[in-house]
Amino acid sequence: MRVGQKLRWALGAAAVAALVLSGCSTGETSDGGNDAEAMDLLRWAGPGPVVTIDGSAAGDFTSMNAILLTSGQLTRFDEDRVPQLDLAESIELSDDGLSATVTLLPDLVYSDGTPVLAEDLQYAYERNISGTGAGMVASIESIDVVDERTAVINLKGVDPDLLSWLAERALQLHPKSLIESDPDYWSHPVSAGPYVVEEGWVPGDPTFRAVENPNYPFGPMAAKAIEIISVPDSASRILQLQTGEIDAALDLPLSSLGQTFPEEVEMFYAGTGGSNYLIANQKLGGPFANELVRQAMSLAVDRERISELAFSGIQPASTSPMYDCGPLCERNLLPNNGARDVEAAKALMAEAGYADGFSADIKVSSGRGGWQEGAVVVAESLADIGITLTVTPVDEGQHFSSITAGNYEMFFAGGGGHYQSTLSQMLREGDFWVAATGWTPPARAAELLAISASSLDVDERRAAFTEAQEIWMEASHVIPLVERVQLNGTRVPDSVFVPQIKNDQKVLVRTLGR
Amino acid sequence: MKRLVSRARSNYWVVLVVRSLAVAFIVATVAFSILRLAPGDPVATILGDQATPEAVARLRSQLGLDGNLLQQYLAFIGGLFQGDLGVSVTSRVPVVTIIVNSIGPTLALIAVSSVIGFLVSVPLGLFLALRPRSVLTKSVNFVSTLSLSTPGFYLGLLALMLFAVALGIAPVAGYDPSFPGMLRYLWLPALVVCGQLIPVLSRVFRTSVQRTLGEEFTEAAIVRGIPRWRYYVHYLVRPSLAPTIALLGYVAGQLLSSAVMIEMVFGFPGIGTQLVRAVSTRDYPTVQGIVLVFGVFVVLITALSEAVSTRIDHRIGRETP
Repeated sequence: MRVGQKLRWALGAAAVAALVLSGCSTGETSDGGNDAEAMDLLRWAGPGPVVTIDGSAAGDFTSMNAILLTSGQLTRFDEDRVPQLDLAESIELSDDGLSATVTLLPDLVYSDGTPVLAEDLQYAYERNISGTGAGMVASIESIDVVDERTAVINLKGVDPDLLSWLAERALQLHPKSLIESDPDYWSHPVSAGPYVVEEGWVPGDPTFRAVENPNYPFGPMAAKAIEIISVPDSASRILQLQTGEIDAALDLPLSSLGQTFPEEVEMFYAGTGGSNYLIANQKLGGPFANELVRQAMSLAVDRERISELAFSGIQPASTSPMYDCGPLCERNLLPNNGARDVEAAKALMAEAGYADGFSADIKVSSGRGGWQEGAVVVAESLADIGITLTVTPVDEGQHFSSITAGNYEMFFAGGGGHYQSTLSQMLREGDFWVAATGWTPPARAAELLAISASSLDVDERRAAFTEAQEIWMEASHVIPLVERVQLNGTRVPDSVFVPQIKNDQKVLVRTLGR
Repeated sequence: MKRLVSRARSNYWVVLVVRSLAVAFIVATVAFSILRLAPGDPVATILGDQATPEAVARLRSQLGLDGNLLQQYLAFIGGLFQGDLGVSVTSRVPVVTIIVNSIGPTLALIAVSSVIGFLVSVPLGLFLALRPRSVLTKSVNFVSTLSLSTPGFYLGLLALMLFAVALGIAPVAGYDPSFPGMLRYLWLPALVVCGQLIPVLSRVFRTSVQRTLGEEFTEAAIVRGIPRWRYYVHYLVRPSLAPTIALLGYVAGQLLSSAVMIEMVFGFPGIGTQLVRAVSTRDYPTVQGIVLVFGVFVVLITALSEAVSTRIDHRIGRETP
């Protein structure tokens, strides 16, 4: 072979070798997941500080989000609020639906290496029976430990929402042994979740910082560390978002949609799973205790105008008593699909014996964006049927206490939460809105609640939800006005961070590990 | 004679301590009473729409809020004597811890504002006193009036828009507890506070200097040909400082309460922010503890300013027992 030929062969072989080598990986196999780089620090601001990591003591959304990010959960909500298995390898329901066998993933450990045990689930349940999240574990009778990885959840009745409850804060996994031996445990908890609280944090600190938990089985996370900053002033939150001091800002005033933001800021809003309501105190008797008067108010109130003037047209007018909760909640159940019918309302007022109307006081929280304006619109629209309302703002500290103490005539209020909980609050004897308004639900309400809470058949549940809402509409003890929405701003793509999952106020930090 | 003066001075300090304790006790009692008499219930606020009658009763018992008012008051006073201000009903953190962790930024803000305010007010007041008819004096008077008549929170928002957003030379919110990192977060809110502080202090100092200018010893100093700098410092500034320092002590105490608003605007994690949160959630122990600290602080700072005034102006010292 001549030299020139040898050189061409050599060059060709080198080229082939280069091509082969460039296609080789470093040894790590690709799992088809996201190969994006994680951001170093994700910072978002909310209206208040993280006051506790103890799920049994939490009551605010900021703390709840911190709890869910720094605690192990058997299931975890995705962005559509569908619970997905997390630390549970499997959850098997018995044939009669009265028990669920939970098996933890193998070799699970907390951030400090302590093993995650089934007894930690049992302990979480026991701690929360008398905690602020007692309603989330109300369907559970007991939890039995079978072995280190297995527990059986015994239910009081069939619960089609069990997987959702397991994704809530009340069943957060923390080591029983450490909680019982350390009275200050909740100031420096370990974690089986995506993040672990950074050392030095004091509950109530304006800045809450957590770093990635290397022992979380589904890491790495799209952000190596997170910071939740308390910025009570909404104007400051907006400014921080505009200047890039934070990556996302939650719960912004709806009016800020009209402001100019840099191109890289995305503003979006989503339902929170709740509504604003008008309630009347039936315990006072008189027109408030008259069902026809309440039905008249529901017909006369201008929901579209409330949405437009008080909530920048963003919070949609209610068309059914329940907010949009997916396949279970039929829409457009309200008369006229919620639109005004002043003449029909006047006819009902006359039938009720209040053709000349009456005067009353309507209270509203002064600390909630748009609520005072909403109460004013309610007053304006009810004036058309002779009801003269005086709007009385009360500070946030009086908001719920005035309602529970019955210290009101009418109230512009709001509520929300899990759809089954909301329905229960509206229809169960002794539950929140029933007790607050003084209404006596019929026996059929309890039957429908039992069906909706226990049936695994979606159609049967939907039918129960629909009939329950019809009872609710008939009573009009809680008049739905608009569906609540939360406005958020973010500078990071949703491949990293979702400021709000569907119909909830929970955040979602993406994982790169699945 | 010296022994008499010494005994009088130690009596003064004893009286001061007793007075401080009495004020603190009264303030604590008022804080306890007012918040409980105000409408609102921390248990209902914590539970929100989860507040069934059973849940309310259970949580009230857990938080120690189920006794009558007298029992709660006695428990509070008893705790005070042991240095225990109770536990926050929302975060379950000891109130002492909350105060210790949050008072630092507020005190830093007050200190920086007071120092800047004093250092600017003294030369400015001196200038205003010596050049009462100059164009600059008239301009300063106009700006001072404008600044005083503008609400502090609005000044703060304007400052944020200008310095933080438009110019990008100040952070919008937050705090760095380390030094000198904290200065980056302090200078703008301190500037806003000084916008309200300097007009007042400079005017008081100007009036004081004008009064001093009329004294015989200042005329004598001029006649004797004292060097100018010595004349200004020893014959004008020093004898005129006492009212300004006394006012600064009073204002510093007021700054503690106005810090609430400044902290909200600038997202400052100080004790004012904690107080607002505690009041809105009816967190009784935290409000009581913070108000108590406010009362003690005001008494101490007032006493300190009195002591400094006495030291600077010996004429005051001869009048004070």
